[in-house]
Amino acid sequence: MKVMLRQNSLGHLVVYVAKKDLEEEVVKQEVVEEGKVFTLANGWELAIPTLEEPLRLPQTIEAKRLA
Amino acid sequence: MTPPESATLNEVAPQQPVADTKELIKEVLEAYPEKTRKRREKHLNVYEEGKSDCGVKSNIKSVPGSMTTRGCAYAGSKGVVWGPIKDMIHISHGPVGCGYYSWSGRRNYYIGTTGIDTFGTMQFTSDFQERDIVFGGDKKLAKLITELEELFPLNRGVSIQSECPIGLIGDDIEAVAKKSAKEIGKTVVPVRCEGFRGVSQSLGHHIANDAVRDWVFPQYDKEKKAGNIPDGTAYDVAIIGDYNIGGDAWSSRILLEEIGLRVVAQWSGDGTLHEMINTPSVKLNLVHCYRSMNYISRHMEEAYGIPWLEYNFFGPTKIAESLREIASKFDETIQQKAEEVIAKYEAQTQAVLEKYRSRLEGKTVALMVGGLRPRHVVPAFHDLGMRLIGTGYEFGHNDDYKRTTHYIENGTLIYDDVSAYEFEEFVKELKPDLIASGIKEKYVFQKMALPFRQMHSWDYSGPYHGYDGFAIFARDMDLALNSPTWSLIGAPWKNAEAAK
Ligand code: SF4
Repeated sequence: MKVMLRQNSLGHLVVYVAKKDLEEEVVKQEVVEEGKVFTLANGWELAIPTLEEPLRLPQTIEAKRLA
Repeated sequence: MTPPESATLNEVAPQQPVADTKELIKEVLEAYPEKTRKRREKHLNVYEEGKSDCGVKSNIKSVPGSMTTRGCAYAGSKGVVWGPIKDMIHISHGPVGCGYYSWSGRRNYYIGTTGIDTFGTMQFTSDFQERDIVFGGDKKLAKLITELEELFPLNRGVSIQSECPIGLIGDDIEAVAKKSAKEIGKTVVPVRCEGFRGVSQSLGHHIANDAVRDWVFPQYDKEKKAGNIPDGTAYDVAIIGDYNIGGDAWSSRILLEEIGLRVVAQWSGDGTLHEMINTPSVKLNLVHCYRSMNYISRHMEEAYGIPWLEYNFFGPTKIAESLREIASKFDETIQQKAEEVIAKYEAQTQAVLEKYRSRLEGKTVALMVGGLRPRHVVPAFHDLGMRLIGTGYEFGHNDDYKRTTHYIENGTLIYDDVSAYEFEEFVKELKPDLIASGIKEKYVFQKMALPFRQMHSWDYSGPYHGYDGFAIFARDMDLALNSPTWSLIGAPWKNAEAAK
């Protein structure tokens, strides 16, 4: 699913999913083999592919929902 | 001085306990058949302090047969987003009714000579007949655009706002748009906002935003490449999502200019096509109505690196807060000026509060509007010492309800896409002193002898944004609440009985 990563006014990383009207802060980032797993404030877990460093924000990426 | 945010909350009776309000929701739902009850249950709730949202589901199809206040995608695109762009001609493409019955309903003020260089209050339609449905309307559309160019040569462009039949018969309006754009040498934007798309006008906003992205911004990119876009100043900003209802964008713009910013574009109240084209050159997008224009703001952030900021110009508390926040994105001169501006309006605000606060203090209000207002106007009521007991959105999404939590107190009743029946029952039970909603609700409640203000059109008043707007807002609420009319509504013989 397409998600947009951006920084909110507090400087926190947030995930925005237009299709779901979902805008949640990332509360945990875990590095795994094929990228990262983001845990959102609402409990969702998203598999994020490896992103180019330095991270350019905002950026729309293809993510997979794990839980 | 800006009054402390919730000074009044201690003085008036506390909100009805959460459990009682939950019980009320249950009672109201009992009238429904089981299936409907299950569906509607999810849209009604009571806000509990500390929760991250209002606990309601939203942006879901209304229950068939119930009276709600929603519009269609065409209304969202033509009526809200595109309609106010004054120097373009917006064709209501399809049968005549959709445009005719929504004609000039939104009071988007603008400056210009109507019919010559601006077209805001005019209604253009391709007036589909049976043969257009049967044989297709593309030829008619092309001819119409040629004719418009002849009759109104000073138009800057045309938008084609699709009504339901266009999508059903499969007309290729994109092809016509491209061809006609070449022919007249102007922007022609096809918008696929057929009314059947989505569950409310909200999808129309989104489609309209996407049309700007796909048909307007490429012109910016082209001009930028050609080196025709000047650099602008470090203080260039755009007002996004202010439709200039009763002059709202003007009373906001004054403040932004006073703190030293240069407003180069207004989306879309009193706005023009070229302001839109030029917007990707600004330094900051100031978003008032998040619901209808967050899409394009997010796009500009990603594609052009323009940050965006939501602000709120209802009531002195929020105005000061917003001005400071906006200024914090710029240098010290702007921050300094922001403080000066806030100080400058202090006396005016104080006078308004002195005059009206005592007349409104402790009164309660129930809101039900669309867009940003179910949360944004709450602080203005608080400034006047009034209290909110219930609020809800016509077509809000989950992100709106999340943003609402900062504005409301524990125990506030939340109703999403409320039906006429539910709203009436809630009002009967909670007895707010004022109801602030739309024209469809107005007369029902007025006949119940309840003070009412329209919150879509400002009840033909306004502007309500900014310090100047607040003065008008306060006066209007006083006029509504303290009018002697309300005591005259009951039947005289009933009054006599009651007196016995
Ligand atoms: S739903 Fe379709 S027919 Fe009705 S007003 Fe909207 S566009 Fe027109």
